Amino acid sequence: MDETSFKKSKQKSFIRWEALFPASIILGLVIAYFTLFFDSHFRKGIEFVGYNTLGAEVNVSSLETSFRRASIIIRGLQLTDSEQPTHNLFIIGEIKFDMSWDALLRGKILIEVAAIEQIQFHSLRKKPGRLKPPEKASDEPSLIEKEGQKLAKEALEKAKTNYDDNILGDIANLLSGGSSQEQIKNLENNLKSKSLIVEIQKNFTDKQTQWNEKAKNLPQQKDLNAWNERFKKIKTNNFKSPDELQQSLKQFQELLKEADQQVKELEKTGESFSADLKTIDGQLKNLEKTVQEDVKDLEAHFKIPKLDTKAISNSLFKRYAGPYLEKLNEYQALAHEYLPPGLLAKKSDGEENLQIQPRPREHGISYEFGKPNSYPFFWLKKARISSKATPGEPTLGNLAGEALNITSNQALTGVPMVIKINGDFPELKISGIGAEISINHTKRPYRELLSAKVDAYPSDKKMLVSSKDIEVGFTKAVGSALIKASFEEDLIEFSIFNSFSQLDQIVMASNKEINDILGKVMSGIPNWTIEASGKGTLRDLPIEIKSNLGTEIARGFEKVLNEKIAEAKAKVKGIIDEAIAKEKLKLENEINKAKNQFNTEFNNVKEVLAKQKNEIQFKIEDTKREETKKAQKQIEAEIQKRLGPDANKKLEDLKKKIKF
Amino acid sequence: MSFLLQQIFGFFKLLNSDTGHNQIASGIALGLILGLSPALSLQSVVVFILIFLFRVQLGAALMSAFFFKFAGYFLDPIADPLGRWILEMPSLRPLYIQLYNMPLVPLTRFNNSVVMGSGILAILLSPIIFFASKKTIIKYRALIVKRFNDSKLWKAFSATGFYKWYNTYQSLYGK
Repeated sequence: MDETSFKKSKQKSFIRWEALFPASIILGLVIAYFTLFFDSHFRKGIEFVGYNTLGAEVNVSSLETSFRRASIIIRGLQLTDSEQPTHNLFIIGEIKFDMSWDALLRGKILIEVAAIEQIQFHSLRKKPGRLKPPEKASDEPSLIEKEGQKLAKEALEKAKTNYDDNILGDIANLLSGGSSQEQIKNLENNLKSKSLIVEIQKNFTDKQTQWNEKAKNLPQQKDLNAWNERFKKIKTNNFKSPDELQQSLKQFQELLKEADQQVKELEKTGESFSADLKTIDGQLKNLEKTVQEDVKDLEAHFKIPKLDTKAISNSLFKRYAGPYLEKLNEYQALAHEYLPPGLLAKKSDGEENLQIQPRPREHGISYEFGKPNSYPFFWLKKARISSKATPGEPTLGNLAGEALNITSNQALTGVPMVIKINGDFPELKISGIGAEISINHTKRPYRELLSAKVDAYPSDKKMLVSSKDIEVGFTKAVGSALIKASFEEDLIEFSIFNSFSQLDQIVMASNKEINDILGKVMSGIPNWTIEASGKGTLRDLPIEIKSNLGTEIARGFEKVLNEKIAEAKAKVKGIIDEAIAKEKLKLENEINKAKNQFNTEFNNVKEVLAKQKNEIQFKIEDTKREETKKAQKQIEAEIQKRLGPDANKKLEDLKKKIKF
Repeated sequence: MSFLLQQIFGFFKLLNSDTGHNQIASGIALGLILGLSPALSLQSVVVFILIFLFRVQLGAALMSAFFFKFAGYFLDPIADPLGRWILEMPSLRPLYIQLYNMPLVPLTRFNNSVVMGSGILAILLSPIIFFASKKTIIKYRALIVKRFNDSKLWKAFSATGFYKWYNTYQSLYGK
């Protein structure tokens, strides 16, 4: 390499002027790409991303973008129903919106008005949509996945436990007979309380041996007598010298000390005895609980139905509501898997910080430094939803509504998000559709409200009970629904009211008596209503189901069943009495006897000890007092003797002098 | 692709010549900024325009960007907390609010902790990288290229007809 090789580059200017031409060609190519190919690639991109994220084929008929207006028009957006790929979940005829260039230049998306038109639900596709094959699960689930799976499993178990009974089947079973004597014997042997009572008995016997051992160590009558003898022998008067007095007092103190020690020992034994009694009482209480559990188990075994409205409603609508409740439980589990922990935890009150809104990202955190009246990262101010029914297109309905203020930061815009839709599908005979969703995250506490209704919709065959004994349901009916739900932070409250009228009922039972009663009851119920409600948190959401069928069926079966139920309950009571009650009573008597015996002995000894202790103390005080008086008198006599006849006067003078 | 290869060959040619050390050093420094910035951001576009507009050695810039893009992944654990610290400074908050709501500036994505941290690192490191690479190039030329040019093997090769023919071709058509 020599200098001549790069002579030219030395002479070139600081700016690369010769790059202008290739740069303008590149710019031209970019413009050409955006004019000719971008829309098509964007459309394919939406289809690809939609397919991969939603798991079902997404189609877009056409897409137009305009750089100048920053607008996008999407036509014929179809989303395949993953459960029925021959149909679309929905079709949106047209979506169009203009974005604000002012906001785009600030790196934000602001849409003043968007239009969503011609919405169709569950329409037939020209050809079935592709479904994404399920992804191969990784061998080792993450901790969050494990927790989610655990919750989902728990939720399913809960749903199964709560809705796994069939009350009408139980009624049929009860009316048609019961269990054999051999079965009853087996049940007796398998009672949990039976083994528990044996355990308590053993424990009690062990304790009793211990108590007897301890009782032997307590002061006996002979000990008390010997001690009393010692007490009497101590000299209490006519002391010849102060030493003699001191000797007696010392003996009294020793005796008192011994008495104190005995009392302490006695109290310690008493405490230990009380603790043991407390344990046994606890075991007895536990036994009571176990007996109740056994009663419940036996009632479940004999399938004794509860004739209350709630139980009948729960049982009847398990088939109808079960799948929805299972879904709800799955969503609860999903919410726990994916919602940020903060959303599930209680938040402290206080004003929302407008200025810093960190949004976690895979790489780092993106902060939003908003200020009042500035743009949030995303803000769709208004979306108009409209659709008009067209003859021959049954899935195309009359819909009108709007979505207001969909944004990424409500604290910044200061307005809640509201979506309202009303309409009907005349050809599908669905009328009075109305929905309103409001999400208010402008300040704590965050609130979300949902209300939706359908005044009338045709309902196909639905079976509430379908077993070999009983079938209850309808072939067709007209349904109506009203749903209300509210979320405040992690607190959820919801109610779903469903009613069915114009019913073509199916009521059949293999037991003639049930068939007659049920037929009579059901013919008197022209409308069926079901109301599910719940209040709680995502983790714990108890659900209550009420129905007018529950009340009417309970009333219809009341007379005939009450007798049978009482009979069955008596049978259960008999089993319990036979297996447990006698033993329990015996054990309780034994315990009470032991308790009384020990308490009497203990109290006697305690009383004697206390009495003797008091006597000693009294004697000590008395001896001291007597001897002091005696000594005082001796001193006074000695003084009088030494002072002579006017001793009293001299003594008084001396007292005055020394101000005594 | 051929454009890229041409630029990379050009880089090695220039590296082994006696001139253009500033072009190469500025290419490496700008490549550092490019590598540590997110691909879709305003600063990447600006740096790209600067590289094209000014006579910066493109091959050096592209190779440096490629290298620092990878180095950036390893720098993320430093860049992220640094970015957070800077973005959470109360005294700078009014400035950020102003910048965040200005046109164009938010397109730099400065509000992301990794972008901010990497950006600060890139700004601090680019002059150091510029001077360090300039010094390295000069030393490289003085020690390695000169020694190579003085070697018997190179002298024998430069005396061949093939080299003379290549040299003539290069002076007529080479850039």
